[in-house]
Amino acid sequence: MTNNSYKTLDGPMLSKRSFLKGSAAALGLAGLPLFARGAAAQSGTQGVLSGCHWGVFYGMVEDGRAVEFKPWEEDPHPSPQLPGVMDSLYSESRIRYPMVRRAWLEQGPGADPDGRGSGDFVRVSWEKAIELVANEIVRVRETYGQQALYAGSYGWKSPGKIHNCQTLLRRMLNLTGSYTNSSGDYSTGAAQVILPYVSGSLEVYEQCTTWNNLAENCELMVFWGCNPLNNSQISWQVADHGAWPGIARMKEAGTPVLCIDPVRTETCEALNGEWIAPRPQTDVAMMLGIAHTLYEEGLHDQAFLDRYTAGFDKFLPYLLGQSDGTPKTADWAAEICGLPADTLRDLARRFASKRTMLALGYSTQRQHHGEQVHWMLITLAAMLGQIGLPGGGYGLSYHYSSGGSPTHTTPILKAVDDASGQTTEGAAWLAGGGAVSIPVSRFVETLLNPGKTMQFNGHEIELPLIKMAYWVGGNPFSHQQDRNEMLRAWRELDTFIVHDVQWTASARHADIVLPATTSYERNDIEQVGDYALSHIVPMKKIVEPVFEARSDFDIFADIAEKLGQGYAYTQGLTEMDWVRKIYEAAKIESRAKGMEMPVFDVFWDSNKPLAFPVTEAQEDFVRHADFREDPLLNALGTASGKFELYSVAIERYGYDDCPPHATWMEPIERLGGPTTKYPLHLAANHPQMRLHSQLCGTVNRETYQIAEREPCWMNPADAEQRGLSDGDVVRVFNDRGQMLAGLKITDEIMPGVVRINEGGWFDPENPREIGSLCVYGDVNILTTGVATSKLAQGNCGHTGVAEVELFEGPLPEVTVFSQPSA
Amino acid sequence: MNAALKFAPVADRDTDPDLALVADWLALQFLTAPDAARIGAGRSTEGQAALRQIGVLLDRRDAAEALCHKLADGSAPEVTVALQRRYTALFEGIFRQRGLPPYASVWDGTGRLYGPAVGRMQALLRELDLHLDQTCCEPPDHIAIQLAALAEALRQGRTELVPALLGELRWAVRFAASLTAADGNGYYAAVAQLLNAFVEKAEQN
Repeated sequence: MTNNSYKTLDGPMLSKRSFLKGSAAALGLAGLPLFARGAAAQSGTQGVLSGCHWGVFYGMVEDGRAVEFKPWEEDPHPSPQLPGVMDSLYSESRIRYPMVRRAWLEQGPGADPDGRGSGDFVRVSWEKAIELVANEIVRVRETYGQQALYAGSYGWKSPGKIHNCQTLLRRMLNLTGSYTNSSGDYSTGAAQVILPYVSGSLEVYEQCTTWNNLAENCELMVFWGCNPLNNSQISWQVADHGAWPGIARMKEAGTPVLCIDPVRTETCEALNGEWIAPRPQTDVAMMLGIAHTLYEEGLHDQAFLDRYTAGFDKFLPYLLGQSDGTPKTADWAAEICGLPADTLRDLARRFASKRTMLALGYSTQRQHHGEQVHWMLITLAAMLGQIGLPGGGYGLSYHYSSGGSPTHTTPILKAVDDASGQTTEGAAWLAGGGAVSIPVSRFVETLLNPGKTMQFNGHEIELPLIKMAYWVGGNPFSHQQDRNEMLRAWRELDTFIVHDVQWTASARHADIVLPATTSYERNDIEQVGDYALSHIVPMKKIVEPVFEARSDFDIFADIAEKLGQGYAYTQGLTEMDWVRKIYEAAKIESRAKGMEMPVFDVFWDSNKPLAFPVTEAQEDFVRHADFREDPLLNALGTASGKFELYSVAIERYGYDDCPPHATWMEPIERLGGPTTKYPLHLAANHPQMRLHSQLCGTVNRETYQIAEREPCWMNPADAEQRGLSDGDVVRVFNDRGQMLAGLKITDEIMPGVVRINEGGWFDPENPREIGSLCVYGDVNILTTGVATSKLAQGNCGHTGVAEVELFEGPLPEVTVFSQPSA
Repeated sequence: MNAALKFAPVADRDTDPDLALVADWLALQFLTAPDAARIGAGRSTEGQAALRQIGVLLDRRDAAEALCHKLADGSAPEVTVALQRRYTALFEGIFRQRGLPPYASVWDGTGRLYGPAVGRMQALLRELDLHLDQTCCEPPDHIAIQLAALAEALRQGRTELVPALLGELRWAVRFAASLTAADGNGYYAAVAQLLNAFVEKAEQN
């Protein structure tokens, strides 16, 4: 036989005579439904414009197959994560068909809850899946009431104004009844609740002083737990990456940079910053020590405090120790934060003598009593008196998504709404709605304590009985803390439904799993830059949906139809009808701003983002400059119209874990804490090569995994003390759980702290056993599930201590990402 | 033409009529979980005889005998459910190391689904003047599609395309070996042996 010819099987027994002739029916071969006659048209390579959390890009398509995602040529700093984005489309762990857990299907809702995660699924048709979901919604509502259906589904769903799966879920449920909703988020759960009391607005999702202005005016840039050169790779909408040119301008201007962080960050590295590493979770004490020095040495700006703030007089006795007998001196703070007192005094003097910008990151408030951190930083900034001045004050949104990148003049794209009748301008996920709404990180507590009364932000919530959870666009088995407590809580659910693109841990623990399309298999429209709003980008379908994936819009349309609300859900509009409608509404709005956008077809067919202008004033924006200029005319949204360093409202709540002014409160555990059992703090940072848990199941993992595990960074001193070597597989454990990790020894992390990025996929060695070893490395096995306080009920993802030891014994295989090796 | 193709007689050229039928039969095993009708056919006297004939053709009589036994081991509904469960666990599931995705791209070093094998198979289908029916949601590097395309080439007498189609099936040997290991003495382990034998035999010719 040669390579280019083929001979039939002409052996002596067979020849060309058919022994199987007439056996087709007997073999069940009634016709394979595979082929149709006629060659499919072949298309050449083309670049299809789209956008995602990681930026604007072209999907390069060959013969209907995506072969590369190439960054848009005007992206100032394309994310290195883009290869993983394409990989997510074609991941080996892609969910291909509707699947139902066997016990649930055969024995009914609630059957064998401990079997969740063990992988025994049955493939069903879409028709069957829709019927099962619709019937279960009806059953749960009729049996337990509307509140028993939880649709507080949270997570980093894809961008796009149509295919916001969380809105679409609630749209379907609002049209057919009600549900329990969630409020707040995991990113800034504490800050977003307390800041309206302090400065009158959310702050953490609002524009801060621009990088341009900082480059011109700032004399000392302080990144406090703030790492924009990692976290600005992504945006909630489509990333603009404006942080890179902005920070480059600062570097060019030679602005001195100080980084306060347990890790020497990418931002610190890029700007050759001075690195100061206090013990994690001691920021408030450190700030108090600096504040005390300011006051003691007369470096504070009393005139600013008098004119622009309220309540400093009630805070001062605490600072000076008159109210509790403990002056918050630099020496007192040094004992807690682990830095020399002289360093704190020096910081106070430097802050006061320079035009200083205090840029605070979100991580600092994801800890026990996290509300206090942002409050104390604003108190400190108020004492410095530079708020509203060019290059000075504080900024709470430099942390990610290129906050500080100037905001363009643009219309705002409206989105498909949730049919609740409520308008949700801005941060839609912060809106309430539903029969009941619980703080988003309190879902586990709710499952375990139905009927309990919970304090939350000045009011009480009776925790509802929940029997069904419906999750779309999120991965609670990643972002929720204390995984083993979560597993115990999940037993209370009759039914857990998940739409997703990959077999995440949440999908694996679901009863019904529906395969959703990625953004790259559907059409949508979005804005570029959460703060910049620089362009509107057509998010074009790059390839047809793979396998049996369907868009969330279509899935919910079918469920709504089954429940008698199909037309109300779709309004008779197709996907492209919605895209056009949203664009045309923006086109009308743009006229009011003196612009004329092209007609829709020109925009869509151009295959380019539509750019919007930015003025010099926008380039030079200074946060709170208007308030500083005229505090009466431009009063803040607080009760007093000023920065409230003491809140009468919070005083009235009487919470024992959230006093009415910024206060140092011991977290349940910390390095050097009075009752802390384990010696190493867990820094559950944002990863560099994925977005939370997104893209963990992609090729990007190969760039960071160690011994096929999530990395665990450790200082050389800690490694030596434990006899550990670079590349070891280690067991990280505390009383809450245990996990494996691959050790990376580096002096880029301070002694006493280990860094394990959040978002590693949960891979229990024995899914049926609560407390089983996670063999890949999900750090939220180890973090605490307690709330920040009664005020915000936020998550404490950065509160956790543990011990690390060499893992000995047969090494369990990581199985969460892939199929067996070939 | 959009209608699905039906099995047609093999063109009377330099091809073996049974080989195409075996390729189709193998394709069917991997394309979907068996339904009651297919199990019923396999349990019938004619079906069992045909399976044994495949064993003879591929010189894997033991494997064919094992299939016959598995199909007859229990009531028809019991066998149907058992094989449906096994199919899902092996080819549609994801969890842990039980699954074996039946796509060339997973096994050829691409590291993801929809690798270059998909493009090459699309080109081969064009050569055969075929396209995937709209009811088929699988990529063309699915082993069932590769086998069915090979059968179609044999039926069309397109011998010049057979080497390329066999080349696309090179991964099937490793797939079959893993399937044998994963399924032990089960039905699909026996199918894997027949797949292996089919590829070997075809390549030898």
